[in-house]
Amino acid sequence: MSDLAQTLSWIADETSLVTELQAGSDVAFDWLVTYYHVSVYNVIYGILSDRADAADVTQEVFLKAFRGIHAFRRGSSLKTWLYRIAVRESLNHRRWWHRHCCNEISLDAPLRDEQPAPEIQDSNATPFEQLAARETQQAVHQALAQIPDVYRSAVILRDLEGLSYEETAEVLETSVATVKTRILRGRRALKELLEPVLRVHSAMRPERPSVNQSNSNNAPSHPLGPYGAVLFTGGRGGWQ
Amino acid sequence: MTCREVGRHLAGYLDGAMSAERHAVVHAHLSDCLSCREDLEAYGRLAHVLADVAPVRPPDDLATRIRVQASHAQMHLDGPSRVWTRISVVFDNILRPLAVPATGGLLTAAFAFVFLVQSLIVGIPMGNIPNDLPTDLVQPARLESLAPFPIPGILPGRGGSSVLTVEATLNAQGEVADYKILAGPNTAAIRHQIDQLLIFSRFQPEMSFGQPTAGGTVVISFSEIRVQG
Repeated sequence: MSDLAQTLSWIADETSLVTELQAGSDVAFDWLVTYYHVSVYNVIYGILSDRADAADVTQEVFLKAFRGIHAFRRGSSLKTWLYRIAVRESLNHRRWWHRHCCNEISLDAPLRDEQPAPEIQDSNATPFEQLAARETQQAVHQALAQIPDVYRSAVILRDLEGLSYEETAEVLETSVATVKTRILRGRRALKELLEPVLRVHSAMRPERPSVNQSNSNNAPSHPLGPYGAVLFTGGRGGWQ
Repeated sequence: MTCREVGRHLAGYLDGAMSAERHAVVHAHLSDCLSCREDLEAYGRLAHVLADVAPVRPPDDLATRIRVQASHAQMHLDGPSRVWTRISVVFDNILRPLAVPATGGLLTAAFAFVFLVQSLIVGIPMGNIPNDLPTDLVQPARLESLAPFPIPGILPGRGGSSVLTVEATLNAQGEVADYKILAGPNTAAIRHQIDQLLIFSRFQPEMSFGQPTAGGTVVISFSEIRVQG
């Protein structure tokens, strides 16, 4: 079978990918890295808020995945398994960092701040929109850095990476009820911290319908409410 | 349900992070309470903001670094076979540069043995092979056939020596250049007969490195056989 055909079958069928990985296929591991390294990096960066550390931990995560693929249970999701390693490694790294180097000041720190923000640029956006998006991104990451670890990882997985509650609970190795509580508290904390950004955001989007309008249209017959299906399902996970 | 209680659950109102009953209660409260609706709107904006956050681009070489590290890990995972691999690599590294000189040396030694030893010890019989041509570098001259007319009365009668020994010296063409009588009668009649005999006999000249050379000698001896009765 050619590599391309194999790759296409892996997208549809994770079981064959896992079989190949457990057999030690280099092509399968390459595909795994290519397909997942960006989202894994983003989860870790959200937790650690440091690009260099996030890159190091991402490396560690894939190395652990490479070594531990034989212990992977058939039938569970490869994505949640990778995310689980990522979250665990990030929290370990954070704990280790607090213990060892929290009083150290990195010589690289000023240089890192001078680097242009390397996020993906939308080529259709105007410079103003790009700047606004970059500022929003920075503000969100700064706010995320200020909320407690347990809430942060839950919010990142659910709202930024777009996992379902069940998947988030699987990644965090806890119950769905706990995850819901953590996400509620995380969002509450984020709303407080991002108050100024949200105000600007509402000013920039006057065309967005308000809750009042929706209510007056008797729209919220959907159990999720007026925006449920739209608003909190916009996670960007898994893009390539 | 008070505004405070509703406020605690609003964050989950939008994506169903609450039970259906509680959702209905909150929904009923929202239709009456403006401040809670504003709160909900803020959560809606938060959801938009979070959904719009662009993913952070990892370092360009991250995927390559991961692959390199994984291939290093693969080497360590191989375990005991790694030791054998390393030993065989070291062995190869030592032997490979020696392979050509060693083979060359052996072949040269064999060549030297076969050719030098054979030319040093000339004339060792190599076994009884019929029609064998000696491969010596210098082959002595020899007689191929003697002329058929012999020579009744070549030898003197009774009372004389009955043996005649002649040494003939050949040129490069295998012809007799000169001869001398080593033993036996040396008379003009006999010399005449010997002249005729040697002229019509055929000789193989002396061969040196495959080339006929002059100066080879052949010793021929004649004896008389007498049949009584």
